Amino acid sequence: MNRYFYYIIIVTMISSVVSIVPSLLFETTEKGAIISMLISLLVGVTFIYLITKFFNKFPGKGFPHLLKQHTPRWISSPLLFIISLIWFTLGLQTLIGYSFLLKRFLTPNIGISWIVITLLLFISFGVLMESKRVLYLVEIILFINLPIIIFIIGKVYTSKGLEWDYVRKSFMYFYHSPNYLAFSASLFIFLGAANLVLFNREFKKRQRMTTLQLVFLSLLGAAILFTTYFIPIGYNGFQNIGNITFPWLLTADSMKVGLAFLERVMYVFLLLYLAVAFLNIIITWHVSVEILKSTVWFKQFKWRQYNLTPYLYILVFWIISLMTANYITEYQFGHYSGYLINFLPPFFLLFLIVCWYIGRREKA
Amino acid sequence: MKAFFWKGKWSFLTLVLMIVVLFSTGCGFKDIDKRIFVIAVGIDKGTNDKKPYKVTLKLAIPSGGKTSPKPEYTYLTKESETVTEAISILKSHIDKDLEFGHAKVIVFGENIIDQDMRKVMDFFIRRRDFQQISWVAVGKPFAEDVLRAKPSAEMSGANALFNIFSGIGTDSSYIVSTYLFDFRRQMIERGIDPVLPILETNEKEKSIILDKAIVFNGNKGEVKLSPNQTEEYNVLSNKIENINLDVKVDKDDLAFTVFVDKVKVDYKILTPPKQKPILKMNVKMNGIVEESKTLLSPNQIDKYNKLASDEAKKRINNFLTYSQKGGVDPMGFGLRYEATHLHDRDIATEWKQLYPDLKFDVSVKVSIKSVGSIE
Repeated sequence: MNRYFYYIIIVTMISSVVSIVPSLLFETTEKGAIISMLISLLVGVTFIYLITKFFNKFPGKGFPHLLKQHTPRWISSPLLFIISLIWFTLGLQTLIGYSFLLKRFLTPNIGISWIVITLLLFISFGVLMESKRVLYLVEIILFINLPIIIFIIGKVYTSKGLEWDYVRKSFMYFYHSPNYLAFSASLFIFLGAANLVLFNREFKKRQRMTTLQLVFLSLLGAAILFTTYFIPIGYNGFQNIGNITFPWLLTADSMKVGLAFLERVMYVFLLLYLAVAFLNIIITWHVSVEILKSTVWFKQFKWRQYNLTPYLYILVFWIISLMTANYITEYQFGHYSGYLINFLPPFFLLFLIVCWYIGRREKA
Repeated sequence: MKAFFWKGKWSFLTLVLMIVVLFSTGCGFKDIDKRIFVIAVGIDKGTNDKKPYKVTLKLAIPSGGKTSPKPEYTYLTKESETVTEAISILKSHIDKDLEFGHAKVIVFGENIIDQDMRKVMDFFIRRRDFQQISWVAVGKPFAEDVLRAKPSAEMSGANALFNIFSGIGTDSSYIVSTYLFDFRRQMIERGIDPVLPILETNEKEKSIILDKAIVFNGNKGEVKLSPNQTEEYNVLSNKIENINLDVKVDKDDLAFTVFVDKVKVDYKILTPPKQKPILKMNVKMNGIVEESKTLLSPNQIDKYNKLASDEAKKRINNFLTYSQKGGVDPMGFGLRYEATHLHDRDIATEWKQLYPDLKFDVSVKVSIKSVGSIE
């Protein structure tokens, strides 16, 4: 596959480390989290395989185009609208979660609205770019950040504070029957591949998903799931890990890095993940806006010869984000995110069925 | 659309950024001269029940360059109902903003550790600005005295407490350094009990001595470790970077001391049916002879090895049975037990019954690499 495809997948995988995923997993430590993670690894890789197989049949074509081609308008329009809504909610979830993190740890004196506005300013700019430029942006930011993230993860594994006995203790719970919440939370990290619905438009050459690539992706997914789940346990103990609001932040803070003047690595960690979360929001919202463009388009809404519809979307995004950021509490946020994440597996199952249907129509 | 973007984009962005700058000035940023850095926090028991906490803050006063021979500190003390209240009152006792990001040492007074420590330390975990990698210790007789102590060797630019714990200054193996996150996880996890070092200061407060430790049972400090036991704990738990353990041998007509600088420990818990549970521990030590009352001959090194091994074994056995009798588990044997046995509902009670009967089977192998510069 194209290297940009990997970037998109990696962004989703990495940004979920500091997202709600670990907190949801830690709710189920004694209720079969490990077995659910294993199942989701299998399902996630299958999902990546199926979705790339589908899109590789149509190089250079996005999902909206294909859907409109093969289904009547009364199916395609609402379906596209729902897809766009889901992608928007995912981006919103990342944005709100990250604003809360920043408010708590980095800039406690600044109001939440200001944090959201500052982030939104740059995000809107990124969202309105062309798809190709979004991909370039992802590449350059990852190129800068990934080495440092890998360094920190390496430090996490080699630091003396990591006590493997806690990790081994958590392994002793593996035989509990799987749990749906843990399954959907860990499946979440594989869903980045679904961004192909839009970015396939940019992949104009014929792509192939080889076994080797699939093995690489499953190893990567397994490593990230392992790190997401077991490292905070190794640092914070097993029994009461569910009580921690931001397990990964506490983990990053429990590490002493003797690197020049750098000792407390938490803030570096926070900023690095901010960059990746930022990319994640841009990608998801970009997909959302572009899909929305293909269904809801106001031809008359013009200023001189420029159509202002995308700006209208952005305005709506701003209003919704600011309202949610101000009204929601941290607890509610976790609660609703749980619902959202629980809703994703059936949704993507439906999505795959539609893909299968389109593929069959295309053959016939 | 593209043309509009190119024309309007940069001027629009510049305008927006300029407006943002206008709004954000003075929002979250305070200059460094408006802040004062707290470098250590001490908590003692208050004088009466209504004010159970006495909070002491040690603040660093910036001094101009290397000219001042001694570092200058100032102290704030307040008794209050909660730690938060004490600190918010103390904020009004000073003209600057208290900055806790560099509070690297947290000292609990000896009289407060018989309370539920989870409540006492909750404040430090919950607040975002305290480092999880700050060191936690017990102050004797009071946390305040330890903070106020001015060791004579302290120089400006290097705080004595930081030097002691970080291992960058002194690297004595009597010193236990426990990070806040480590203390927390050991406290709330069953099967392992936290150990805190005891900082002692004398009447004149001219020195800080740290060679003892205390093991917490549940949430309260209970079992004190002597200097030797502290050293054994340090070595066995693999907590310190530089080991310099002294094994003194005094037997027959030989009297020598081995300086051990490398230790490897591994252990497992065996539960053979119908027998007492056994803890099998293998310890390997490397070292050189540092002091001897007699001439040592290099070809008898096997004999010396054996003598030193016996001695070390005796010490380790003593430490293990001492903590077992005290009902504490500083090494985390219970955790290891749960980490190697499939979870079931009764595993915790199972271990509680096993631990008092646990037999220690320690084998120590000391290998002396050299008898030193002279025979």
